Amino acid sequence: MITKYINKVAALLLVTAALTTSLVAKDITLLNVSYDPTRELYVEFNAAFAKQWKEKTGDTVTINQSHGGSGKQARSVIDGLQADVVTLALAYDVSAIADKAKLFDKNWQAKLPNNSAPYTSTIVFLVRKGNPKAIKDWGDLIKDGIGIVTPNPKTSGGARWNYLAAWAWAAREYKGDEAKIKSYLTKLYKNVPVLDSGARGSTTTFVQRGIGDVFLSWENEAYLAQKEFGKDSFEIVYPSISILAEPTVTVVDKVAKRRGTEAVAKAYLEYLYSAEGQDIAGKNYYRPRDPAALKKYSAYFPSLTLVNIDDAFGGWDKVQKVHFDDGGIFDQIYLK
Amino acid sequence: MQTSTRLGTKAWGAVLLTSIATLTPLRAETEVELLRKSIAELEQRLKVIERKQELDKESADAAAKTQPVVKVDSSGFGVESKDKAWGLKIRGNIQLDGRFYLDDGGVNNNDRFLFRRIRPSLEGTVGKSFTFRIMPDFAPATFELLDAYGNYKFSDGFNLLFGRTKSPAGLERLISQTNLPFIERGYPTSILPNRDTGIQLHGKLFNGTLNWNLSALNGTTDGQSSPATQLDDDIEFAGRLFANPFINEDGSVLQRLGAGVSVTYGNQENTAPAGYRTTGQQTSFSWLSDVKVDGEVFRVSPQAYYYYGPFGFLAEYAVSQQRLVNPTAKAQDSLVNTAWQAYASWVLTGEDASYEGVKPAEPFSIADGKWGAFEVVARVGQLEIDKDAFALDAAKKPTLFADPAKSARSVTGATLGLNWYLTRNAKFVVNYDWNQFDGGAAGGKDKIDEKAIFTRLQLNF
Repeated sequence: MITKYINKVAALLLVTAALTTSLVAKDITLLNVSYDPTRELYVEFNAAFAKQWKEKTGDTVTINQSHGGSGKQARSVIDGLQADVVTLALAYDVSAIADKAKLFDKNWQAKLPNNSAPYTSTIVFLVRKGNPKAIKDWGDLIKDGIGIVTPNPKTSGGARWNYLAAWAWAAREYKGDEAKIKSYLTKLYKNVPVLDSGARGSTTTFVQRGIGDVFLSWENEAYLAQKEFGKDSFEIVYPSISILAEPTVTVVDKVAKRRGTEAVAKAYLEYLYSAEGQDIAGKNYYRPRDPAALKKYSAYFPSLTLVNIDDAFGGWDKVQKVHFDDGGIFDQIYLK
Repeated sequence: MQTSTRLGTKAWGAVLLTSIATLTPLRAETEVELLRKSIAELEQRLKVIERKQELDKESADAAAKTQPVVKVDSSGFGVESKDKAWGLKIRGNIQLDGRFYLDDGGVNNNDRFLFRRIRPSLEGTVGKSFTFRIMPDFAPATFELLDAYGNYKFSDGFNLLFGRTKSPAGLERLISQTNLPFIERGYPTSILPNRDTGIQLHGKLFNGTLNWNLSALNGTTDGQSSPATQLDDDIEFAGRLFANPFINEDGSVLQRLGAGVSVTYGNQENTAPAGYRTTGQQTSFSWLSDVKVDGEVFRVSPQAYYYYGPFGFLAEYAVSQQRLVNPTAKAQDSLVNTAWQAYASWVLTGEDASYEGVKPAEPFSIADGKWGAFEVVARVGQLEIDKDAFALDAAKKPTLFADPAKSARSVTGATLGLNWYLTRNAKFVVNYDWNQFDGGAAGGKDKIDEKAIFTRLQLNF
């Protein structure tokens, strides 16, 4: 008798669940959790993707954006922010999500071309018009009276690239003498009056609040500042050496699966590698992987010596442990 | 000599003056430059201080967005996350009743004060869609776990509740204990199920105009909660549809009109049925000790309410059909008991009457000369037992399921009440109950009328 009733209840539940599922709206929403300076890039890219997705499938996809310091954003996803995709400043922050929240495979970088980095960038100097402090290279940053604006490496991916680019210059300059390198970085950070939590905050500090003489900036962010505030106000200085910054992207598999957005999330990231996606990246001052797009926007991207995170530092795991973990070299030099 | 000396002095003076004239602008320029530099440095320092303050504020604002909120207000004590996805609330209700019977023939221990309800409750939200409630009762005599359930909200229209709470059958039954217009519930509630354990699917459809519920429960006897241990192997199904067709029409006189029907159906095996009480809480009917419910149990209850401004009206009718056996009398039959009630309320102080209770516009305060809200209520109702429950002629035939000398065939009653809502959390109630019986006394006579004054002091949060 009771089995009969249980079967009836189970059938009722299944029918109701099926009805509920079938009533879900056709509109799709995605949440892209990204780092600070990508707002403008993804506004344009999202519109392009939504248009082509509508044409291809008939579905309306709305992509919501969340921006902040890359490390902070990764922490938010680990803590439960329901991101369908993450597009963060560096691979370490993406891997942290895989390691700590187990939301996708540890081998996530193999799922998309170029180690899941659809565009690159580097670190440049943004100085005030006329470069009044005559800042030309990393060595100029530790002179007395130089005010440097850079975010906090503990929370910002861009800040970690800044730190590592400075380290790479000092390593070359002092022929690997770690004591001298640390001394150089100590002096550099003594010239930093404010540590913002993200790159966009630092842009505000330097550009809008008028603090400092030089802003260690993402190349795309520097061009954007020039575009928004005019070349009359700021100049970009390319140092003698910098770092190849590779922002990385991945689908947050477990969230996307639960929300039923796996296919569209995957297509969204793949579209970053398409001709249109690469063109949008170039237009927004990110260095495209696609040679044609890179050539089209080559005026923005002068060639310079770039070190690679793996070759120069032994990869992100080592970098994080040695430099940025609590008690690491950054803490040692900044808290001095 | 003197001339020479004078000339020399003049020459030195001229040189000195020339030097001063030349150096003074240089020194002034240097000082201006130094001042400019100092001002620029001070300006930078000031900007840095301002920016740091700005960042501190941003950090504080960001932190405030995620800090949990502690809430202490008229709806209880609680804490919840900023996005309200997580929360815990402690609530409670204490009712101290006074019962005073008039003309009861000197029955001992009738008149007394008692705690009618002492119910703390713990309610919470676990993630956005999952809520729970645990509510025990420490009164009137023993501890009892009344509510213990979790509810997952898939959408407004579809919820899954599992655990123990009120069966969805009765309109008055579903009124919260704190918002009852009368001290004791009426007769339809006494023949419809109380709390039960199982699964309830429920929700609000069509923009809140249709409430639905479909439940699979352990099953229980009339007016009772299911025991902790299931009585038999059978499941009782309960369903309810209740429409508020004009609920979204602001300003409509019919906005708070609601009507619906509930049904329960199931089987019970060899289960002792409970007797029935009057609204004055005296036993009006009891089954013989050998009688059991054994077979189909079916209940149906059409129900409606209407509220407009300070006026309220509620009516419900209930039918309970249950198959009974009495092995001693070798009797078995399906008996149909019925009950109905209708009541009206009027909030004298002008606040809205509602199914969810009255909220005084001005809380009681001697200092401010405020008196809270007053409401008068009146109710009529009846419980009628199936005549086949009794032997038609007790002298010739044994009684079948009930003793007509002890159990009344029907009871008809009326209640008048005054509710004084001091605040949203405190209420004083006085009811006058009058009940008239058909039968229930020896020799085929009627039990003497029940007249009682009930009072209640209630504190809830």
